[in-house]
Amino acid sequence: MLQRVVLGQVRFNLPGLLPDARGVVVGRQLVVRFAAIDRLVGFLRILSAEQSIDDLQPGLRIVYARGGAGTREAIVLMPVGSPGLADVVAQAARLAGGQTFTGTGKQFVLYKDARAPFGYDVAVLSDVAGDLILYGTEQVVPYRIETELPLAKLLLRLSLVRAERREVGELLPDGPLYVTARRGLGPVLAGYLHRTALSRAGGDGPRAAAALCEGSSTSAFAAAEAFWLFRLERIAPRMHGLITRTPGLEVFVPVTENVAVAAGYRHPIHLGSCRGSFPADRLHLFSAGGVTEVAPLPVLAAIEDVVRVRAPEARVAAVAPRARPDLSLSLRLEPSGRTGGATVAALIPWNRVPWFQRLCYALPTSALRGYRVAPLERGVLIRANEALEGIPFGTLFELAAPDVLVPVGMRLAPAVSPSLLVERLGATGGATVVFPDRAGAPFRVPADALVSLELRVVGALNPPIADTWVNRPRAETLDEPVEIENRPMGPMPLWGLRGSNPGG
Amino acid sequence: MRPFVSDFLLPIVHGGPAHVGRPMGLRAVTRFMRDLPLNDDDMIAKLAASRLAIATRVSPVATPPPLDEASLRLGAALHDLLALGHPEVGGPRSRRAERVAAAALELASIGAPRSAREAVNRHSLLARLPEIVRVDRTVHYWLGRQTYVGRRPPPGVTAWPKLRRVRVEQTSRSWLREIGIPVVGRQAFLALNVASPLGEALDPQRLDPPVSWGRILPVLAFPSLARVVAGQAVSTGIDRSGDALADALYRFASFHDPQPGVDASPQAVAFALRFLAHVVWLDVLFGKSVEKPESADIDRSLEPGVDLAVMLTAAARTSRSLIWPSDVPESGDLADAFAARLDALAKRAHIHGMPRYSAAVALAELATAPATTPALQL
Repeated sequence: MLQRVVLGQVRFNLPGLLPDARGVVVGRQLVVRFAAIDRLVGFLRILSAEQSIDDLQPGLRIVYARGGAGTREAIVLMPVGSPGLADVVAQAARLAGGQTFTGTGKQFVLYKDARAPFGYDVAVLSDVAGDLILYGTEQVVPYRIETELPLAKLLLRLSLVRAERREVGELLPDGPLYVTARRGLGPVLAGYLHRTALSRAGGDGPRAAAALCEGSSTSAFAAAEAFWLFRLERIAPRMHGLITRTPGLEVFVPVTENVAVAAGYRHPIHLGSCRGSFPADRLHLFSAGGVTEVAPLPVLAAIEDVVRVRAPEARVAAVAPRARPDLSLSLRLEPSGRTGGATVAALIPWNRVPWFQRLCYALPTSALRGYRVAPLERGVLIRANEALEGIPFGTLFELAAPDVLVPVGMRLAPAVSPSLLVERLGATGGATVVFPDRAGAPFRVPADALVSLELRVVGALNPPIADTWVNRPRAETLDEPVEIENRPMGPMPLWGLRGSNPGG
Repeated sequence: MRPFVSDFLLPIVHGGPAHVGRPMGLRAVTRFMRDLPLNDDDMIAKLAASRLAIATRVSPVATPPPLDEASLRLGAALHDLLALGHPEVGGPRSRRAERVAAAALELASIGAPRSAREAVNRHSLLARLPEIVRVDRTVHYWLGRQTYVGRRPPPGVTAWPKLRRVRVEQTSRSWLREIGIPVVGRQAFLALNVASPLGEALDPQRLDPPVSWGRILPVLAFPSLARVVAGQAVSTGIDRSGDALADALYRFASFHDPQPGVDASPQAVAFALRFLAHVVWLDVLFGKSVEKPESADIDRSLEPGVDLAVMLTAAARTSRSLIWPSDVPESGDLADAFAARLDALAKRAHIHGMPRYSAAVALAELATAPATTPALQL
């Protein structure tokens, strides 16, 4: 049973209770309990909006405890640093659906409320065992602490919330921003920002700094994934659309010196009041997909020092009179006069594709997995990584250079170096260049057109590339948010709602 | 039937305002079933296309999920759960709320999916559940203020804004994360997760209700979906997702998971441990995680990854078959890389995670214990 404290009372049964200047009894600690974790998050959100969480450190603990009735509840313990703090905490807890207790050690009594403006004291101390004993108005609940959830862990686990339904570009502040860019995009963005700064005389162009950050992690077989990090001190509104809508760029709004949240989102808890939970030697970037930690803190270089400096173009006098013919030649196929090169590809005309389909039943698993095919206008191109075996028809090809195919027994003339061939013919990035015969012009097959044979033979062989891409069904865009809209239920909302199963 | 599909099911899948009105029971769904199939409608086609777009994120399906009885029951159950927050229901402790929650529970109790396709079909309907928001608007005017929960204020309330000094405050809150499921509807929400566990499996870091192996194991039994879940765990970072799954495994093995769901058995715990090891194998092969140099001088006990390290270290020392697939050789580049990862995990567990180590060893021993009862077929 609880007793209401009266004004001027100086002796209390619960150890550790002391009256403050107003006569309200407060212990050295506060305990707030919640039935569910979402209420705890709501409490921390409300509290962090009014009070710096760092001021409660050290001593702030979040624990899961099991009560005497078997319920598992989230409990926050915090020290009472100042007289006004308890009222702020109690108000936030009430808003979030929690209960506030005060006391010292492991005995805590209900904090003051409207019925007891000076607080409560216990009539008699309970002797039940437990890590925490909370004295409520109706019962005494002992709690056994099961686990502890550090605040830093909770902050990193919470998912971001969409900030507004408006366009993201409208949400960007004028102040500093962080932008991450894929490695290939970084120099392009740096160049763009530099050009924009130069074109804006008077110093109102964007001021930016950049750093190339190594990915925080890598596996034993993958190279570290690096990305560019830009800090934009000031940015014109007309550039908002560019940096927010370009794929590969992600915009973050700084919350503290070393914490930033993706633009258009907000963290459920005000991170500005939890600075102490984030180590100062690393940068935390909260995005919808998770948290990226950049450690140590990146050293940002001015954008002028990052962009590539191009040497001025040298003016060279005309080497040859314009009337003389150009020296450039076109490549052509000639018989090489030798055999023995590995066959790596075959081009099967469409009228022979039924043969090839029947042959697929006899091909071994390694061939079905290793061969890649691309349906083209003139036929089906089959490509093997090392050697193509088991296909006795169609035009067979060997390599004249990496990813440059010529018919078996032919070579390219003039005999330029393979690396130059690859560069000039565009056989890079997985694309393949094919010289079909002596009369035909070479053609280029992009990398994404070559699909594993086993994937292709599962369905029917498709018509040429253009048709396969055109026929792809239009993907539904699902970027509109889902919003509850309550409708009036009428005078008898549960009419006809029966709990029984009509089928028995 | 058509208003329910156009005003509620389609927005839940495709986006837009989802209208929540009078709660529905099983009889209403039975009435809806009489109208099926609805094939000659643009609205049905749009719903099917949206569900197909969601389904293709997790499985290479070519045909859209059908609008069948399971879809209608799950949709109606979700509608009733959302209706628990309707102001006209009278609050979560009212008698009305209990009846609505009972109806939602009855609708959602259709059991776990029996095939991968069925799991994907159900997931395509409920995948956007964490994205549902409710916008509450408070209109302040010269005589006071009026709050509209999940509704737009009528035009009369906001008329003459300058004269009446009208100001509208909007608060957008996530239904799942911020508003939360009322206690009275918790059992129905768990039943909804049992019926469609793929969303829970793909988001193991969800805080409330926390991920439960008892609910997600039936969907992990399908290899194609298990690969998707493992891939998602690797892409979100195995330290965080692995920690959440390892933490859930303690609850599962100690029978602390709330029902409904699969009960713990040695086979189920062994499967869960092998799944965790599979995630680490994937990370070694394709992931981006790197083990930080461990030292007793640096306190990393608060950083993610300790629970996973403790669990896998205990499993590796108890029985190597729990973490090492039988068809992977014990030597070679891949084996060396995985062994190096195991050593790093063991070091981290030794420095930071010893208080839970004994519990993890007991759990691994349970996984290697011979079965005494017919258990989950995985």
